[in-house]
Amino acid sequence: MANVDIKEIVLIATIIFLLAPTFLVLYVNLYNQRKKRHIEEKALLEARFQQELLKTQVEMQEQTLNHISREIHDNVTQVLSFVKLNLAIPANATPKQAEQKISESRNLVAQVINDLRNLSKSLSYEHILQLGLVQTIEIEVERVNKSGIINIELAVGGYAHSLGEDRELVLFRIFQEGLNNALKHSGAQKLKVSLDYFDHLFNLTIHDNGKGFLADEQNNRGSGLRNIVNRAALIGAVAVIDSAPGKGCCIKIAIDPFTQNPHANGNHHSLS
Amino acid sequence: MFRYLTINISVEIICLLTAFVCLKKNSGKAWLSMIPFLSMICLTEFGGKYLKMIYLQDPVHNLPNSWLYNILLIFQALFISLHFKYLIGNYVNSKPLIYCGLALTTMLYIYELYDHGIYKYNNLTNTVLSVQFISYSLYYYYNLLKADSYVNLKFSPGFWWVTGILFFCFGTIIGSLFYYKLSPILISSKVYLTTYIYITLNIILYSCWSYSFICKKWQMSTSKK
Repeated sequence: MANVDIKEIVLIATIIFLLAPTFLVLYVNLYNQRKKRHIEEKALLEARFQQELLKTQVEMQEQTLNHISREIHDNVTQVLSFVKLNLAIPANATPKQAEQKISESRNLVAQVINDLRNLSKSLSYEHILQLGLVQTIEIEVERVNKSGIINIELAVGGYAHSLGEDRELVLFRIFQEGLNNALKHSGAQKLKVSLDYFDHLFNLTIHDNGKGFLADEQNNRGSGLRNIVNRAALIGAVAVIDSAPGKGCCIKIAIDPFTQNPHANGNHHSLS
Repeated sequence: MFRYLTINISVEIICLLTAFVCLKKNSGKAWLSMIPFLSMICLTEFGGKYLKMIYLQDPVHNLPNSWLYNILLIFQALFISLHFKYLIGNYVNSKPLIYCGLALTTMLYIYELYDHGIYKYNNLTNTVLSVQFISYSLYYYYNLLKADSYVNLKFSPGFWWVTGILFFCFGTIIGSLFYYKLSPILISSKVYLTTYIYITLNIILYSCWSYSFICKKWQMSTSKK
Protein backbone atom coordinates (compact mmCIF):
# COMPACT_ATOMS: atom_id res chain seq x y z
CA MET A 1 0.00 0.00 0.00
CA ALA A 2 2.83 2.36 0.98
CA ASN A 3 4.58 1.49 -2.26
CA VAL A 4 1.49 2.49 -4.26
CA ASP A 5 1.30 5.80 -2.38
CA ILE A 6 4.97 6.52 -3.08
CA LYS A 7 4.48 5.77 -6.76
CA GLU A 8 1.54 8.17 -6.86
CA ILE A 9 3.59 10.87 -5.17
CA VAL A 10 6.46 10.30 -7.60
CA LEU A 11 4.06 10.58 -10.49
CA ILE A 12 2.38 13.75 -9.20
CA ALA A 13 5.71 15.34 -8.30
CA THR A 14 7.12 14.58 -11.73
CA ILE A 15 4.03 16.02 -13.39
CA ILE A 16 4.22 19.19 -11.30
CA PHE A 17 7.95 19.51 -11.88
CA LEU A 18 7.75 19.09 -15.61
CA LEU A 19 4.33 20.27 -16.70
CA ALA A 20 4.63 24.01 -16.08
CA PRO A 21 7.93 24.55 -17.92
CA THR A 22 6.86 22.09 -20.63
CA PHE A 23 3.74 24.12 -21.36
CA LEU A 24 5.79 27.26 -21.31
CA VAL A 25 8.34 25.92 -23.76
CA LEU A 26 5.56 24.58 -26.02
CA TYR A 27 3.88 27.97 -25.97
CA VAL A 28 7.13 29.74 -26.87
CA ASN A 29 7.61 27.30 -29.73
CA LEU A 30 4.05 27.76 -30.98
CA TYR A 31 4.31 31.53 -30.84
CA ASN A 32 7.64 31.36 -32.64
CA GLN A 33 6.07 29.32 -35.45
CA ARG A 34 3.34 31.93 -35.79
CA LYS A 35 6.00 34.62 -35.91
CA LYS A 36 7.71 32.72 -38.72
CA ARG A 37 4.45 32.58 -40.71
CA HIS A 38 3.85 36.26 -40.06
CA ILE A 39 7.35 37.19 -41.27
CA GLU A 40 6.85 35.10 -44.42
CA GLU A 41 3.47 36.71 -45.14
CA LYS A 42 4.94 40.15 -44.54
CA ALA A 43 7.78 39.44 -46.96
CA LEU A 44 5.26 38.24 -49.55
CA LEU A 45 3.15 41.38 -49.18
CA GLU A 46 6.27 43.52 -49.33
CA ALA A 47 7.29 41.82 -52.58
CA ARG A 48 3.80 42.32 -54.03
CA PHE A 49 3.84 45.96 -52.97
CA GLN A 50 7.20 46.50 -54.64
CA GLN A 51 5.90 44.78 -57.79
CA GLU A 52 2.82 46.98 -57.88
CA LEU A 53 4.94 50.05 -57.26
CA LEU A 54 7.23 49.10 -60.11
CA LYS A 55 4.20 48.49 -62.33
CA THR A 56 2.86 51.90 -61.38
CA GLN A 57 6.17 53.55 -62.20
CA VAL A 58 6.32 51.80 -65.57
CA GLU A 59 2.74 52.84 -66.36
CA MET A 60 3.55 56.40 -65.43
CA GLN A 61 6.64 56.37 -67.62
CA GLU A 62 4.57 54.99 -70.49
CA GLN A 63 1.96 57.66 -70.01
CA THR A 64 4.62 60.36 -69.85
CA LEU A 65 6.21 59.07 -73.07
CA ASN A 66 2.81 58.99 -74.78
CA HIS A 67 2.15 62.49 -73.63
CA ILE A 68 5.55 63.68 -74.90
CA SER A 69 5.03 61.89 -78.20
CA ARG A 70 1.58 63.50 -78.63
CA GLU A 71 2.91 66.93 -77.71
CA ILE A 72 5.80 66.63 -80.16
CA HIS A 73 3.53 65.39 -82.94
CA ASP A 74 0.57 67.72 -82.40
CA ASN A 75 2.31 70.83 -81.22
CA VAL A 76 6.06 71.13 -81.67
CA THR A 77 6.27 69.56 -85.14
CA GLN A 78 3.32 71.64 -86.38
CA VAL A 79 4.73 74.90 -85.11
CA LEU A 80 8.23 74.16 -86.40
CA SER A 81 6.82 73.23 -89.83
CA PHE A 82 5.06 76.59 -89.85
CA VAL A 83 8.32 78.30 -88.87
CA LYS A 84 10.07 76.47 -91.71
CA LEU A 85 7.46 77.68 -94.18
CA ASN A 86 7.62 81.15 -92.70
CA LEU A 87 11.37 81.36 -93.13
CA ALA A 88 11.20 80.36 -96.78
CA ILE A 89 11.03 84.06 -97.66
CA PRO A 90 10.52 84.66 -101.35
CA ALA A 91 13.33 86.49 -103.16
CA ASN A 92 11.09 89.41 -104.03
CA ALA A 93 9.95 90.04 -100.45
CA THR A 94 10.60 93.52 -99.10
CA PRO A 95 12.86 93.95 -96.03
CA LYS A 96 9.78 94.90 -94.04
CA GLN A 97 7.96 91.73 -95.06
CA ALA A 98 11.06 89.65 -94.30
CA GLU A 99 11.43 91.32 -90.91
CA GLN A 100 7.78 90.61 -90.13
CA LYS A 101 8.20 86.93 -91.11
CA ILE A 102 11.37 86.60 -89.00
CA SER A 103 9.70 88.25 -86.03
CA GLU A 104 6.70 85.92 -86.38
CA SER A 105 9.04 82.94 -86.59
CA ARG A 106 10.95 84.08 -83.50
CA ASN A 107 7.71 84.26 -81.55
CA LEU A 108 6.77 80.79 -82.73
CA VAL A 109 10.18 79.38 -81.80
CA ALA A 110 9.87 81.04 -78.38
CA GLN A 111 6.48 79.37 -77.98
CA VAL A 112 7.97 75.99 -78.93
CA ILE A 113 10.80 76.47 -76.42
CA ASN A 114 8.27 77.29 -73.75
CA ASP A 115 6.15 74.27 -74.64
CA LEU A 116 9.21 72.00 -74.59
CA ARG A 117 10.19 73.39 -71.19
CA ASN A 118 6.74 72.64 -69.84
CA LEU A 119 6.92 69.21 -71.39
CA SER A 120 10.22 68.43 -69.73
CA LYS A 121 8.73 69.40 -66.39
CA SER A 122 5.62 67.36 -66.82
CA LEU A 123 4.72 64.22 -64.98
CA SER A 124 7.99 62.40 -64.55
CA TYR A 125 8.35 60.12 -61.54
CA GLU A 126 11.20 62.21 -60.17
CA HIS A 127 9.01 65.24 -60.55
CA ILE A 128 6.47 63.92 -58.05
CA LEU A 129 9.25 63.15 -55.59
CA GLN A 130 10.65 66.65 -56.00
CA LEU A 131 7.47 68.72 -56.08
CA GLY A 132 5.14 66.67 -53.95
CA LEU A 133 1.59 65.55 -54.62
CA VAL A 134 -0.21 68.91 -54.50
CA GLN A 135 2.09 70.72 -56.91
CA THR A 136 2.23 67.81 -59.34
CA ILE A 137 -1.56 67.62 -59.44
CA GLU A 138 -1.71 71.41 -59.88
CA ILE A 139 0.61 71.18 -62.91
CA GLU A 140 -1.45 68.34 -64.37
CA VAL A 141 -4.69 70.27 -63.79
CA GLU A 142 -3.21 73.34 -65.46
CA ARG A 143 -2.10 71.27 -68.44
CA VAL A 144 -5.52 69.65 -68.89
CA ASN A 145 -7.34 72.97 -68.40
CA LYS A 146 -5.15 74.55 -71.07
CA SER A 147 -6.16 71.85 -73.54
CA GLY A 148 -9.81 72.82 -73.05
CA ILE A 149 -11.03 69.22 -73.12
CA ILE A 150 -12.44 69.43 -69.61
CA ASN A 151 -12.58 72.02 -66.87
CA ILE A 152 -10.95 70.91 -63.63
CA GLU A 153 -11.45 72.68 -60.32
CA LEU A 154 -8.79 71.94 -57.76
CA ALA A 155 -9.28 72.61 -54.04
CA VAL A 156 -6.69 71.95 -51.34
CA GLY A 157 -7.91 72.00 -47.74
CA GLY A 158 -5.86 71.92 -44.56
CA TYR A 159 -2.10 72.06 -44.17
CA ALA A 160 -0.55 70.15 -47.10
CA HIS A 161 2.29 67.91 -45.98
CA SER A 162 4.17 64.95 -47.40
CA LEU A 163 2.45 61.57 -47.11
CA GLY A 164 5.59 59.67 -48.09
CA GLU A 165 7.10 59.24 -51.55
CA ASP A 166 5.58 55.83 -52.32
CA ARG A 167 2.13 56.83 -51.12
CA GLU A 168 2.17 60.10 -53.06
CA LEU A 169 3.21 58.27 -56.20
CA VAL A 170 0.34 55.80 -55.83
CA LEU A 171 -2.12 58.60 -55.00
CA PHE A 172 -1.04 60.54 -58.06
CA ARG A 173 -1.50 57.41 -60.15
CA ILE A 174 -5.01 57.03 -58.72
CA PHE A 175 -5.71 60.65 -59.64
CA GLN A 176 -4.50 60.01 -63.20
CA GLU A 177 -6.62 56.87 -63.43
CA GLY A 178 -9.69 58.81 -62.25
CA LEU A 179 -8.93 61.61 -64.71
CA ASN A 180 -8.50 59.17 -67.60
CA ASN A 181 -11.79 57.46 -66.72
CA ALA A 182 -13.56 60.82 -66.70
CA LEU A 183 -12.02 61.83 -70.03
CA LYS A 184 -12.56 58.53 -71.81
CA HIS A 185 -15.88 57.22 -70.52
CA SER A 186 -17.92 59.82 -68.66
CA GLY A 187 -18.32 62.58 -71.23
CA ALA A 188 -18.01 65.01 -68.31
CA GLN A 189 -17.52 68.76 -68.81
CA LYS A 190 -16.43 69.48 -65.25
CA LEU A 191 -14.23 67.70 -62.78
CA LYS A 192 -13.81 68.64 -59.14
CA VAL A 193 -10.66 67.47 -57.43
CA SER A 194 -10.14 68.08 -53.74
CA LEU A 195 -7.23 67.24 -51.48
CA ASP A 196 -8.09 67.52 -47.79
CA TYR A 197 -5.39 67.26 -45.18
CA PHE A 198 -6.45 66.57 -41.59
CA ASP A 199 -4.34 65.58 -38.58
CA HIS A 200 -5.08 61.87 -38.88
CA LEU A 201 -6.75 61.69 -42.26
CA PHE A 202 -6.09 62.55 -45.87
CA ASN A 203 -8.89 62.59 -48.45
CA LEU A 204 -8.58 62.68 -52.21
CA THR A 205 -11.90 63.23 -53.97
CA ILE A 206 -12.43 63.19 -57.73
CA HIS A 207 -15.97 64.10 -58.76
CA ASP A 208 -17.14 64.42 -62.39
CA ASN A 209 -20.49 65.55 -63.79
CA GLY A 210 -20.55 62.86 -66.49
CA LYS A 211 -23.16 60.27 -67.39
CA GLY A 212 -22.33 57.98 -64.44
CA PHE A 213 -23.06 54.26 -64.23
CA LEU A 214 -24.81 51.69 -62.07
CA ALA A 215 -22.97 50.40 -59.04
CA ASP A 216 -23.41 46.82 -60.36
CA GLU A 217 -21.57 47.75 -63.55
CA GLN A 218 -18.44 48.69 -61.64
CA ASN A 219 -16.89 45.27 -61.82
CA ASN A 220 -17.40 45.13 -65.57
CA ARG A 221 -15.95 48.55 -66.34
CA GLY A 222 -12.45 47.42 -67.17
CA SER A 223 -9.43 47.44 -65.00
CA GLY A 224 -9.43 51.20 -64.29
CA LEU A 225 -11.72 51.26 -61.26
CA ARG A 226 -10.42 47.94 -60.02
CA ASN A 227 -6.89 49.36 -60.19
CA ILE A 228 -7.96 52.35 -58.13
CA VAL A 229 -9.33 50.12 -55.37
CA ASN A 230 -6.35 47.77 -55.38
CA ARG A 231 -3.84 50.58 -55.38
CA ALA A 232 -5.62 52.33 -52.54
CA ALA A 233 -5.53 49.12 -50.51
CA LEU A 234 -1.82 48.81 -51.25
CA ILE A 235 -1.04 52.02 -49.37
CA GLY A 236 -3.48 51.22 -46.59
CA ALA A 237 -6.16 53.57 -47.97
CA VAL A 238 -9.86 52.98 -48.51
CA ALA A 239 -11.39 53.71 -51.90
CA VAL A 240 -15.10 54.37 -52.22
CA ILE A 241 -16.53 54.74 -55.72
CA ASP A 242 -20.00 56.19 -55.84
CA SER A 243 -21.96 56.57 -59.07
CA ALA A 244 -25.43 56.46 -60.54
CA PRO A 245 -26.71 57.00 -64.12
CA GLY A 246 -26.86 60.71 -64.87
CA LYS A 247 -25.27 61.69 -61.60
CA GLY A 248 -21.59 61.50 -62.47
CA CYS A 249 -19.01 59.56 -60.56
CA CYS A 250 -17.31 60.30 -57.27
CA ILE A 251 -14.09 58.57 -56.23
CA LYS A 252 -13.07 59.06 -52.60
CA ILE A 253 -9.74 57.90 -51.26
CA ALA A 254 -9.20 58.10 -47.50
CA ILE A 255 -5.94 57.32 -45.77
CA ASP A 256 -4.55 57.65 -42.29
CA PRO A 257 -1.08 59.19 -42.85
CA PHE A 258 0.23 57.46 -39.72
CA THR A 259 -0.57 53.96 -40.98
CA GLN A 260 2.67 52.07 -40.55
CA ASN A 261 1.90 49.12 -42.78
CA PRO A 262 1.12 50.55 -46.20
CA HIS A 263 1.22 47.29 -48.12
CA ALA A 264 -1.06 45.43 -45.73
CA ASN A 265 -4.34 44.06 -46.91
CA GLY A 266 -3.27 43.99 -50.54
CA ASN A 267 -6.35 42.06 -51.66
CA HIS A 268 -8.71 44.43 -49.99
CA HIS A 269 -11.71 45.40 -52.13
CA SER A 270 -13.75 48.19 -50.75
CA LEU A 271 -16.02 49.04 -53.64
CA SER A 272 -19.29 50.14 -52.22
CA MET B 1 37.00 5.21 -8.60
CA PHE B 2 33.75 3.81 -9.99
CA ARG B 3 31.92 4.28 -6.72
CA TYR B 4 32.29 8.01 -7.28
CA LEU B 5 30.58 7.74 -10.64
CA THR B 6 26.97 8.39 -9.68
CA ILE B 7 24.32 9.16 -12.31
CA ASN B 8 24.62 12.88 -11.54
CA ILE B 9 28.39 12.95 -11.95
CA SER B 10 28.19 10.84 -15.13
CA VAL B 11 25.70 13.24 -16.72
CA GLU B 12 27.84 16.22 -15.71
CA ILE B 13 31.00 14.65 -17.13
CA ILE B 14 29.22 13.89 -20.42
CA CYS B 15 28.10 17.51 -20.57
CA LEU B 16 31.64 18.73 -19.83
CA LEU B 17 33.05 16.50 -22.57
CA THR B 18 30.43 17.79 -25.02
CA ALA B 19 31.42 21.35 -24.11
CA PHE B 20 35.09 20.49 -24.70
CA VAL B 21 34.32 19.02 -28.11
CA CYS B 22 31.79 21.60 -29.31
CA LEU B 23 32.89 24.93 -27.87
CA LYS B 24 35.89 26.52 -29.57
CA LYS B 25 37.60 29.86 -29.23
CA ASN B 26 35.31 31.49 -31.77
CA SER B 27 32.20 30.49 -29.76
CA GLY B 28 32.68 33.59 -27.62
CA LYS B 29 33.73 34.11 -24.02
CA ALA B 30 30.26 33.54 -22.59
CA TRP B 31 29.99 30.06 -24.07
CA LEU B 32 33.62 29.19 -23.38
CA SER B 33 33.10 30.06 -19.71
CA MET B 34 30.86 26.98 -19.53
CA ILE B 35 33.95 24.75 -19.68
CA PRO B 36 35.58 25.99 -16.44
CA PHE B 37 32.15 26.17 -14.83
CA LEU B 38 31.28 22.57 -15.69
CA SER B 39 34.76 21.47 -14.61
CA MET B 40 34.14 23.17 -11.29
CA ILE B 41 30.80 21.37 -10.93
CA CYS B 42 32.37 18.00 -11.67
CA LEU B 43 35.18 18.58 -9.16
CA THR B 44 32.68 19.73 -6.53
CA GLU B 45 30.55 16.65 -7.12
CA PHE B 46 33.58 14.37 -6.71
CA GLY B 47 34.63 16.26 -3.60
CA GLY B 48 31.09 16.23 -2.27
CA LYS B 49 30.77 12.51 -2.79
CA TYR B 50 34.09 11.89 -1.01
CA LEU B 51 33.16 14.12 1.94
CA LYS B 52 29.76 12.44 2.20
CA MET B 53 31.34 9.01 2.35
CA ILE B 54 33.72 10.11 5.10
CA TYR B 55 30.87 11.76 6.98
CA LEU B 56 28.68 8.67 6.78
CA GLN B 57 31.53 6.54 8.12
CA ASP B 58 32.09 8.79 11.16
CA PRO B 59 29.41 11.47 11.57
CA VAL B 60 30.71 12.49 14.98
CA HIS B 61 34.19 13.57 13.89
CA ASN B 62 33.45 14.71 10.34
CA LEU B 63 31.34 17.47 8.81
CA PRO B 64 28.74 17.11 6.03
CA ASN B 65 29.62 18.38 2.55
CA SER B 66 27.31 21.43 2.56
CA TRP B 67 30.17 23.93 2.83
CA LEU B 68 31.54 22.70 -0.50
CA TYR B 69 28.17 23.27 -2.21
CA ASN B 70 27.95 26.67 -0.53
CA ILE B 71 31.17 27.61 -2.31
CA LEU B 72 29.84 26.21 -5.59
CA LEU B 73 26.73 28.38 -5.13
CA ILE B 74 28.89 31.50 -5.59
CA PHE B 75 30.20 30.27 -8.93
CA GLN B 76 26.74 29.11 -9.99
CA ALA B 77 25.34 32.57 -9.37
CA LEU B 78 28.24 34.22 -11.20
CA PHE B 79 28.58 32.01 -14.26
CA ILE B 80 24.86 31.52 -14.92
CA SER B 81 24.03 35.19 -14.33
CA LEU B 82 26.80 36.30 -16.67
CA HIS B 83 25.64 33.86 -19.33
CA PHE B 84 22.12 35.28 -19.00
CA LYS B 85 23.64 38.75 -19.30
CA TYR B 86 25.13 37.71 -22.62
CA LEU B 87 21.95 35.99 -23.90
CA ILE B 88 19.49 38.74 -22.90
CA GLY B 89 22.10 41.31 -23.94
CA ASN B 90 21.58 40.19 -27.54
CA TYR B 91 18.19 41.92 -27.37
CA VAL B 92 18.27 44.59 -24.65
CA ASN B 93 20.65 46.12 -22.14
CA SER B 94 20.76 43.36 -19.53
CA LYS B 95 23.39 44.83 -17.22
CA PRO B 96 21.06 46.57 -14.70
CA LEU B 97 18.89 43.47 -14.29
CA ILE B 98 21.76 41.03 -13.86
CA TYR B 99 23.81 43.25 -11.55
CA CYS B 100 20.78 43.89 -9.33
CA GLY B 101 20.16 40.14 -9.18
CA LEU B 102 23.78 39.51 -8.24
CA ALA B 103 23.65 42.20 -5.55
CA LEU B 104 20.55 40.58 -4.04
CA THR B 105 22.18 37.15 -4.12
CA THR B 106 25.31 38.51 -2.43
CA MET B 107 23.26 40.09 0.37
CA LEU B 108 21.27 36.90 0.97
CA TYR B 109 24.40 34.79 0.87
CA ILE B 110 26.18 36.94 3.46
CA TYR B 111 23.04 37.01 5.61
CA GLU B 112 22.79 33.21 5.57
CA LEU B 113 26.48 32.76 6.33
CA TYR B 114 26.06 35.16 9.23
CA ASP B 115 22.89 33.36 10.32
CA HIS B 116 23.99 29.73 10.35
CA GLY B 117 27.59 29.57 9.20
CA ILE B 118 29.13 27.88 6.18
CA TYR B 119 28.50 24.27 7.27
CA LYS B 120 24.78 24.46 6.65
CA TYR B 121 23.54 24.75 3.07
CA ASN B 122 22.30 28.23 1.98
CA ASN B 123 18.81 27.11 1.02
CA LEU B 124 17.25 30.57 0.92
CA THR B 125 19.96 31.90 -1.42
CA ASN B 126 19.54 28.87 -3.64
CA THR B 127 15.75 29.28 -3.82
CA VAL B 128 15.91 33.02 -4.52
CA LEU B 129 18.60 32.38 -7.13
CA SER B 130 16.28 29.86 -8.80
CA VAL B 131 13.46 32.43 -8.84
CA GLN B 132 15.87 34.93 -10.41
CA PHE B 133 16.94 32.44 -13.08
CA ILE B 134 13.30 31.62 -13.90
CA SER B 135 12.61 35.35 -14.28
CA TYR B 136 15.66 35.74 -16.53
CA SER B 137 14.51 32.74 -18.58
CA LEU B 138 11.03 34.21 -19.04
CA TYR B 139 12.51 37.60 -19.91
CA TYR B 140 14.78 35.93 -22.44
CA TYR B 141 11.78 34.12 -24.04
CA TYR B 142 9.86 37.39 -24.10
CA ASN B 143 12.67 39.16 -25.92
CA LEU B 144 13.20 36.23 -28.26
CA LEU B 145 9.54 36.34 -29.31
CA LYS B 146 9.42 40.13 -29.42
CA ALA B 147 12.42 40.41 -31.73
CA ASP B 148 11.70 41.06 -35.41
CA SER B 149 13.94 38.29 -36.66
CA TYR B 150 12.88 34.65 -36.66
CA VAL B 151 15.03 32.10 -34.82
CA ASN B 152 14.65 28.38 -35.48
CA LEU B 153 14.31 27.17 -31.90
CA LYS B 154 15.24 23.59 -32.78
CA PHE B 155 18.79 24.71 -33.45
CA SER B 156 19.06 27.71 -31.15
CA PRO B 157 21.83 27.23 -28.55
CA GLY B 158 20.55 30.05 -26.36
CA PHE B 159 17.02 28.65 -26.28
CA TRP B 160 18.13 25.16 -25.20
CA TRP B 161 20.53 26.51 -22.59
CA VAL B 162 17.75 28.63 -21.07
CA THR B 163 15.23 25.78 -21.31
CA GLY B 164 17.57 23.54 -19.28
CA ILE B 165 17.85 26.21 -16.58
CA LEU B 166 14.09 26.78 -16.58
CA PHE B 167 13.27 23.10 -15.98
CA PHE B 168 15.97 22.77 -13.36
CA CYS B 169 14.98 25.89 -11.45
CA PHE B 170 11.27 25.06 -11.52
CA GLY B 171 12.14 21.67 -10.08
CA THR B 172 14.51 23.15 -7.51
CA ILE B 173 11.91 25.61 -6.26
CA ILE B 174 9.14 23.06 -5.98
CA GLY B 175 11.63 20.63 -4.40
CA SER B 176 12.62 23.24 -1.85
CA LEU B 177 9.04 24.24 -1.08
CA PHE B 178 7.94 20.66 -0.46
CA TYR B 179 11.27 19.53 0.97
CA TYR B 180 9.93 18.65 4.41
CA LYS B 181 7.08 16.63 2.89
CA LEU B 182 9.21 14.91 0.28
CA SER B 183 12.51 14.32 2.09
CA PRO B 184 11.32 11.59 4.49
CA ILE B 185 9.84 9.50 1.67
CA LEU B 186 11.93 6.48 0.86
CA ILE B 187 11.59 4.86 -2.56
CA SER B 188 13.74 1.86 -1.66
CA SER B 189 15.42 0.93 1.61
CA LYS B 190 18.20 3.54 1.18
CA VAL B 191 17.17 5.91 -1.62
CA TYR B 192 14.99 8.92 -0.95
CA LEU B 193 12.41 10.33 -3.36
CA THR B 194 14.23 13.67 -3.46
CA THR B 195 17.31 11.90 -4.81
CA TYR B 196 15.30 10.67 -7.80
CA ILE B 197 13.82 14.10 -8.34
CA TYR B 198 17.21 15.79 -8.34
CA ILE B 199 18.68 13.13 -10.62
CA THR B 200 15.82 13.71 -13.09
CA LEU B 201 16.34 17.47 -12.94
CA ASN B 202 20.10 17.09 -13.44
CA ILE B 203 19.55 14.83 -16.43
CA ILE B 204 17.17 17.37 -18.00
CA LEU B 205 19.53 20.30 -17.28
CA TYR B 206 22.69 18.72 -18.60
CA SER B 207 20.96 17.12 -21.59
CA CYS B 208 19.61 20.52 -22.63
CA TRP B 209 23.00 22.13 -22.07
CA SER B 210 24.82 19.40 -24.01
CA TYR B 211 22.39 19.85 -26.90
CA SER B 212 22.83 23.63 -26.73
CA PHE B 213 26.62 23.15 -27.06
CA ILE B 214 26.04 20.92 -30.09
CA CYS B 215 23.73 23.58 -31.57
CA LYS B 216 26.44 26.17 -30.93
CA LYS B 217 28.95 24.03 -32.83
CA TRP B 218 26.47 23.69 -35.74
CA GLN B 219 25.89 27.39 -35.67
CA MET B 220 29.59 28.14 -35.77
CA SER B 221 30.21 25.71 -38.64
CA THR B 222 27.25 27.14 -40.60
CA SER B 223 28.38 30.74 -40.13
CA LYS B 224 31.90 29.79 -41.28
CA LYS B 225 30.53 28.58 -44.60
